[in-house]
Amino acid sequence: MRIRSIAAAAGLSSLLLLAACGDDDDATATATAVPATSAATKAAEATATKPAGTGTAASPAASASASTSSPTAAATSAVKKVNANTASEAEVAAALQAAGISNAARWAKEVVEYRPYPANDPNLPKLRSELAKYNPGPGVVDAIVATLTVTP
Amino acid sequence: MTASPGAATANEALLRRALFALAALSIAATAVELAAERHWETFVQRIPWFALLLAAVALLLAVTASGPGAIRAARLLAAAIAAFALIGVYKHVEANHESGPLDFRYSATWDSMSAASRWWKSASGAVGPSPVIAPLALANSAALIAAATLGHPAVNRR
Repeated sequence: MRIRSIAAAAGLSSLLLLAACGDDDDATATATAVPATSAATKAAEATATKPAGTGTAASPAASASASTSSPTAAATSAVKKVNANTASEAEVAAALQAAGISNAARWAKEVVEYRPYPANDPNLPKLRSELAKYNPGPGVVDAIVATLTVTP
Repeated sequence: MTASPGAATANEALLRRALFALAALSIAATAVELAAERHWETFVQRIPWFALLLAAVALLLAVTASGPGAIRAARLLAAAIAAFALIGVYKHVEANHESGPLDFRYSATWDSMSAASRWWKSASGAVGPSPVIAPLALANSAALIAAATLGHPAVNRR
């Protein structure tokens, strides 16, 4: 009887482990299932509602969503930058808001959460990889990074 | 055909050792996974590390069980770890829910969606970066430790 109980508990435990692993698979599948047509539609809408910019300082090492021709990123090129390591969450939110980024307060929370950022890499690859997990629209990560600086 | 009491005890001891080994493996694998995810950026993200520490203590107590008190303590810790796992599941769902508006597929519609729809998408992994069921890896370790204490000879020891 004891052996049966132990074996049953071990079986339950294995089921839990399988469930935990299965979730990761689902999450990956969901994350990669971004419809390309939706992204294209969003980009087209953004292009139609924002004036053409003069380009940004976005790095070629940016994530898949990065695009130097992104109107959102272009719109932020003239925005005053705030320090990603020292600015308050409110200051970051204000800078993002001024850059025309929607949900600025929520993005600011993420910027502050993943501090500190290396001072020798203004492209903020750490922040880019963290923000990419949220499945932002095209150019949004570039636009956020464009409002930030790491140099004192 | 029934096994002799001696053989049953030997089988039981073997199963118990296997469960201890699986629990140790589960704890180590969870630690590696958490480290790979850099799961320490915020206070909340450090909670599973604390739970893993408790799991290691519980495992040690169960393995070196010197009496019924140690077994009871191991079970109590296992229950606490399971509670941490459930809290982890909730925190992951909550994090996904908070990040809903950031997902470009829902940024325009998130606020107009019903609460049930938003929570379902957060809990089912349709939105957000947090793997919802992953914290149950902690519950797995707890279940293995608790299972290994079933019918433990130290419980009847005086």
